[in-house]
Amino acid sequence: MNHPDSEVLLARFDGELSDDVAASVASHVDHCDACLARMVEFEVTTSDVAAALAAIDANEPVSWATPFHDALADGARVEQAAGDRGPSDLAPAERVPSTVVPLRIPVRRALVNGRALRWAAGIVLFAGAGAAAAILGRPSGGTVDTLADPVTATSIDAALPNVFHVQPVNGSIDIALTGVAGPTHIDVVFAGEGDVLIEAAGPDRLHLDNARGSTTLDLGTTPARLRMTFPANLGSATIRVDGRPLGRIDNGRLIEVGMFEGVTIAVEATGRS
Amino acid sequence: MEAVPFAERIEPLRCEILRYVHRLTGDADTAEDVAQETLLRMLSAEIDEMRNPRAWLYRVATNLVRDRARKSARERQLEAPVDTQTPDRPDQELERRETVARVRSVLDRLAPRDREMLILRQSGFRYSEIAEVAGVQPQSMPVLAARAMARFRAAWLAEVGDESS
Repeated sequence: MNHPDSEVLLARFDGELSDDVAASVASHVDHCDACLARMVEFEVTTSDVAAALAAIDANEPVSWATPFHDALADGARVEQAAGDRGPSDLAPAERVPSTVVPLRIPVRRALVNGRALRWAAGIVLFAGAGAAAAILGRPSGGTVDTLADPVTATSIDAALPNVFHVQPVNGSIDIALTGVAGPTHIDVVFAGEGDVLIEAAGPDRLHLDNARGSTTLDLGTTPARLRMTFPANLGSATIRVDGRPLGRIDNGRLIEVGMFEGVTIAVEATGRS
Repeated sequence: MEAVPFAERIEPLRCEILRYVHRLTGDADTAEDVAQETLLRMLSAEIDEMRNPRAWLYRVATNLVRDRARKSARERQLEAPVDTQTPDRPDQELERRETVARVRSVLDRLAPRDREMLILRQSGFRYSEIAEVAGVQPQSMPVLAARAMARFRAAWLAEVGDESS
């Protein structure tokens, strides 16, 4: 097989190829050091882009605060209720000061060579298989400290944001997903020191380290659990499930959790120094 | 699903658009203006006709940024280092400003379309959605994305070097 073009490799990297083409490219890459090196370069470049954008974001004005809505989750501590305001009333609110992780340019050394030193702390993500419990009446977006109760999207309303912004109080966060089954592509890109641990208990089990975890897990039809542990001092990260954004982390704190139809999502902030 | 106040629905989108435009331009005032204009246009649009409202908003914001760029010969500028995040020590502040300046330099070397590609890709959009936002043919997306990545890599290495290796 001839070497795939860069755009094909990047499309494979981004999960944009059909299954059969993706399998063919993956088979080639597994036996081709040159193409593997190009894939690694995509990893590094993606991490560099993430780091660059994190630096830009860290320079956002504090007036770009995200209001907190008390209707989003039972038990969530509400920082600020926006009420039922119209768009013209969206006055900027005070941003909750965040701990800005100084950007290290570039981050490649830390990503490639760094071993996990702080596995215990960080962000843990669980993904399990099973039937999703339908919880109706949940809003589909907003900002809270903690989604204390699970939220299920019984249908994705395209007119709604379907994204939760979670601002942890102390840092670490547990995200639990139920309702995920079958072949599930998990993709994680992050910038910062340390490694990301991905463990899946159940039909598949794997342990990835280094800059980017990208794999397809067959979670089957029986309950399974996927666990991702991020370093405590994570600068930024994006997590995709089947090509769709599940979560995004900036400066180790701001978490955007996307909604998936039929999937129950629970987020709990836990302490981190 | 019970009704959610409109402001709550659009607030995450407003934040997304603010961040997106800020990433594109590096200018906080532009981001605020574009975000406001984008949401105003959403109000007057038939949202039921939007196949992908999020992509629709990004497309409107992208076009507004392009319009502004065409109308103004002024280069993008870094926002004044006031009103930003937590106050840093002077050395930290200096380091942060230098970092932002270097990153902005890298991004500003790219063509606007390449910038859009990178930022939208990093924001989690699929190729089909990026094509919709950027107004390009979906089938050309793999090539455009790969080209943007390569150009970013070249600009990045030129600016910061391969200090990591």
